[in-house]
Amino acid sequence: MTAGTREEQRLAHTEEMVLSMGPHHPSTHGVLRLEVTSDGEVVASARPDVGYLHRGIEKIGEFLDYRQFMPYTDRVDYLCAMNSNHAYALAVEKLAGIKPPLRAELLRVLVDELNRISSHLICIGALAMDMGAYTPFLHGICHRELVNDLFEEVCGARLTYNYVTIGGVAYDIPQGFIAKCDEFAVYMQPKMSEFNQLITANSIFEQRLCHVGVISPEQAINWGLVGPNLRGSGVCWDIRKHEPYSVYDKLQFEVPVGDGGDPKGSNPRGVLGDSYDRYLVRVKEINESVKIVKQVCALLRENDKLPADSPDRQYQAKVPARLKVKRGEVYCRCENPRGETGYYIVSDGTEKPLRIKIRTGSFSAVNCFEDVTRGLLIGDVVAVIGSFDIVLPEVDR
Amino acid sequence: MPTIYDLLGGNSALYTVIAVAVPCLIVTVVVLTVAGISTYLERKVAADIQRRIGPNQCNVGPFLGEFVRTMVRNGAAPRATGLARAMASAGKAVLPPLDWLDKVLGRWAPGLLIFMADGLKLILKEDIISDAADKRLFRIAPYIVLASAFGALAVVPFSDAWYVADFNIGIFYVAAITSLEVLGILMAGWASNNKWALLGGMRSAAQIVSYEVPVGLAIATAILMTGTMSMQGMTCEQLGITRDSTWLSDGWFWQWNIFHPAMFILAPVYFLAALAECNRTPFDIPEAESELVSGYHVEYSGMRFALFFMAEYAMMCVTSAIAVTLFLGGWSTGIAPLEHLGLAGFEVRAGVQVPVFHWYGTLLHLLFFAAKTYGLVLLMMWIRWTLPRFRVDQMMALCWKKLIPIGLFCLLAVAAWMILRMVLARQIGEALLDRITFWGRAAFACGVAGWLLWYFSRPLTPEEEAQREMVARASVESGPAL
Amino acid sequence: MDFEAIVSKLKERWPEVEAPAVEAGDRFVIVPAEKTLEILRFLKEDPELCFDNLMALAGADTGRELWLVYALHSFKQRHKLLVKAVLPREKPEVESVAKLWGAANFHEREAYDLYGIVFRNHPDLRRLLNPPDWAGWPGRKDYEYPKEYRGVPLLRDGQFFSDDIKKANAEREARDKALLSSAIAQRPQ
Repeated sequence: MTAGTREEQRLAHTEEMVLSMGPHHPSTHGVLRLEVTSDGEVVASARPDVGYLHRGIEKIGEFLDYRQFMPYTDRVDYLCAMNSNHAYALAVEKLAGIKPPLRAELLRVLVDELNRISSHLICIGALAMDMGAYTPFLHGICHRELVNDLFEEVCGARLTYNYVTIGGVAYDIPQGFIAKCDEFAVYMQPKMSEFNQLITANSIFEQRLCHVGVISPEQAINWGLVGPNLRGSGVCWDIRKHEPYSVYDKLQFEVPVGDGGDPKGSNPRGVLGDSYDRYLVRVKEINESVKIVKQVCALLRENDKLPADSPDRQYQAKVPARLKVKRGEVYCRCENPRGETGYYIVSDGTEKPLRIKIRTGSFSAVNCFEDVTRGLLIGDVVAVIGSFDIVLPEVDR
Repeated sequence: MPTIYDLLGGNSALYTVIAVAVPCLIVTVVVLTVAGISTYLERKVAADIQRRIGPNQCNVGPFLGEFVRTMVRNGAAPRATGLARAMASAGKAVLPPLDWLDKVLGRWAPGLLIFMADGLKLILKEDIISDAADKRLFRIAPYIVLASAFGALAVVPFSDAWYVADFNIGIFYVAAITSLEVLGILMAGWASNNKWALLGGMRSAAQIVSYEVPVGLAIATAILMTGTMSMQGMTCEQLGITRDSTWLSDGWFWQWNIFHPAMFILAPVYFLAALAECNRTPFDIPEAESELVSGYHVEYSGMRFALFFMAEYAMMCVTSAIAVTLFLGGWSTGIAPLEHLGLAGFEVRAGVQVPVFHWYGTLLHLLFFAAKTYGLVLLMMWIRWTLPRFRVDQMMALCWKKLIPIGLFCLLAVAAWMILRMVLARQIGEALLDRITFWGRAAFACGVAGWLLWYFSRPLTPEEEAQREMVARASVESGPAL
Repeated sequence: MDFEAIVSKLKERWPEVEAPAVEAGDRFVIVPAEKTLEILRFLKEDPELCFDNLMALAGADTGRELWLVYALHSFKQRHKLLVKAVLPREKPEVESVAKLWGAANFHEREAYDLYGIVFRNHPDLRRLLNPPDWAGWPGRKDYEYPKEYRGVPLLRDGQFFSDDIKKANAEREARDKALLSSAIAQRPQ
């Protein structure tokens, strides 16, 4: 067929449509704005436009004491506030040379893993909700309520905890808390297989996520992806296992890695590094976290048996009231549910830091977004956002 | 007793108008109310599946009861007028049954009146039409969608004597009028002057037009099977009762269309296509809330949005009613003794023997029809809250590459079966063939029922056993007692 | 490889690289600003060093000069390194490493947004977190919060209202005080 006259070509000329997905949008997980240039359904480019939640947290840190900055780290990623607190505390302790006692470390790991469970439940629930299945999200919220209740017992808050302090934790756990955590672990164990029956094994869900947003391992490393996004692409790297901090070297757990395309794996119809892989990694991580919670409860029970004045039984190291940190800088990272959260802290010898830089997992995910979504359909863009588990306060700080 | 015709002084034009308008009005009002209650039920079903409670606050007591009590209080005031006192005594009389209704509804359907509250709220909202929108099209679009959904109700046989009209091309008319909703949706998408709405409208048009084909194939197959296009005729065919049937021999449920093997395969195909016509999950791409934020009706607010909403639920009821008529025997109860109990005789209509029932038979038929239709509507709701949605290309692939070949195959199978029937009838006679098909279908139905019983009562696999045990040990429903 | 080994390997090729001693925290390597791209390329592509992961890229303002810090990590060799470039305040320019590590894209945009560090040959250097027409480099120590943005007066730390609003409030307060005192004076005793 010949290409018609110039007049016909001019009349048949189609333009691409520029859509603005967000910042108010039910599925962009916060105030993310995507400038989507699309030809009907096929996306030519989806450029992220962030900054709607920029609060200048890093700059605020330069005017506050090290201890005063802790509540701000809650707000950097409110879905896993315990982990964010822990990352900041680790960095400052490394710089100041403070070593928290054993009980504090155990408590930190306990609340970290509980928070990981609740954060992953939100992520996979939200991904299912974006795919149109509203029920798994609410089931996840139902389980998460129990975690919230546990946290309320421990520190009084349900979302932004400010529980981990520099040198330890803020409060000791109340009586009977370990029994409740154990009960929760037993409750949670069969829930993931129930969840899988509902949504993970659903062939429509699989079709929506397989072969969508494929990221090869080399690309993942190059783009700086971390956490479940990196593991979903097949790179076996978990800071808890490979650069252990706190008491993770004493705990037994596995690191789930994506295995798309492997006929004997859990994603036989997909390809390595697709959205389904990243989703499955999170589902499996919940099970691993349940295991860790059980082990930590056992360790805490042993720790309870120690005499009350033994140094291992304390929940807070002795930290001076005005914490002066020696001159120096540190980059320290911690495994958050969304990947590695690294704190680069520069100290000039005073009580206030010179610079705090927070490097978060969602930042890298938004970074590579444009390249990943080229040529996908609009429904796939939504799937990719959900599978990356992007939380905007982390990106904008 | 003088009939209405006589009362109108023999004015046949006025009589015709009333004879047509009154049933239409009744049907419209009833279906609108049912659609409204469906919104409430949908939320309750959703809540049940999601382990929540759902709406439970808007009850008769706080709503109407308080109103009546205030009336009674005002009537007892010292300087109340005669009208106020009259209203107060009327209120006092109404109060006990109202309280009883509140108790019953509060126990069985808490929050039922939320659909009325929602309707009131939507009417009272500000009517916003964006400046650059095409105002005329914007205004007309909801009415077109509503009209196409309700237009199909004109031929649906609710019972043997209760229907608005009995066209001899009934089902064909239904297929035609439900296709009109595409126009309304496209209009809404275009006239909103909003790219998201446009995307939603285009997706919806593609979806509905594509899924018309499996619907048409299912309808064609049903027409082949029953030999008539009239919906009342189809139902009577599936009822199976003739002058020479005894009280056990005809009128059973396995004479419904669905228990023919080809129709058994086609019924889910039609159901999926009906889901797509109603824009319900898993085919709710046009209103994919998480992608398009409401799709084609994103710019609509207030009552206009309520019209789209009503149209969707009405469409659900209509397509379920059609599915029931095509496959599940319409208003027939499926239990032969019940049928024959209500049977009053036969009369000839348009050259065909048609059974006529007593008033209690008609009422029973209406109840069964309503139960079957609403069962399908509840099934649609169940599916919505369980399954995720398809992507646009997957949905189109499902239609064109899977449903349509299956539909065509079933159509050919039924056509072949009709020819085979003709040949066999010449060999062994009509009556014997009738009995053979009767018992064949009974066997098939019993086979299906037996398989279902076996599937749901088979012993659990070891994993399922272990899981059940663990769940029971963890005292699951309320979690750990905190 | 430990820190000393990496530093000696770098110093073989670029003797001007320094690795000062520190009181606390991590040790870092200071590289000259013009040579960042080649040194980082060497760090990435050398098979023994193989820093294939850019963990973070941060700007910092010491009050005197600007720092640009690269935190590198190697999956293969499991070692980490902090590389620092010291930049002058007036014209902080450095080559972009976005073609070495795709991760650098947004990090460099953020450093540009907050500190004004210009990355040459960056694929798309514009502000990331602040609006595109924002004035100033917010991360710097001498940053002054603007009085208004696109005509809207902005609240400012330590000073709750802009000058006009302050004046209007003062006038209103004086007027109310006068009214109140006159009303009290006129009240029947």
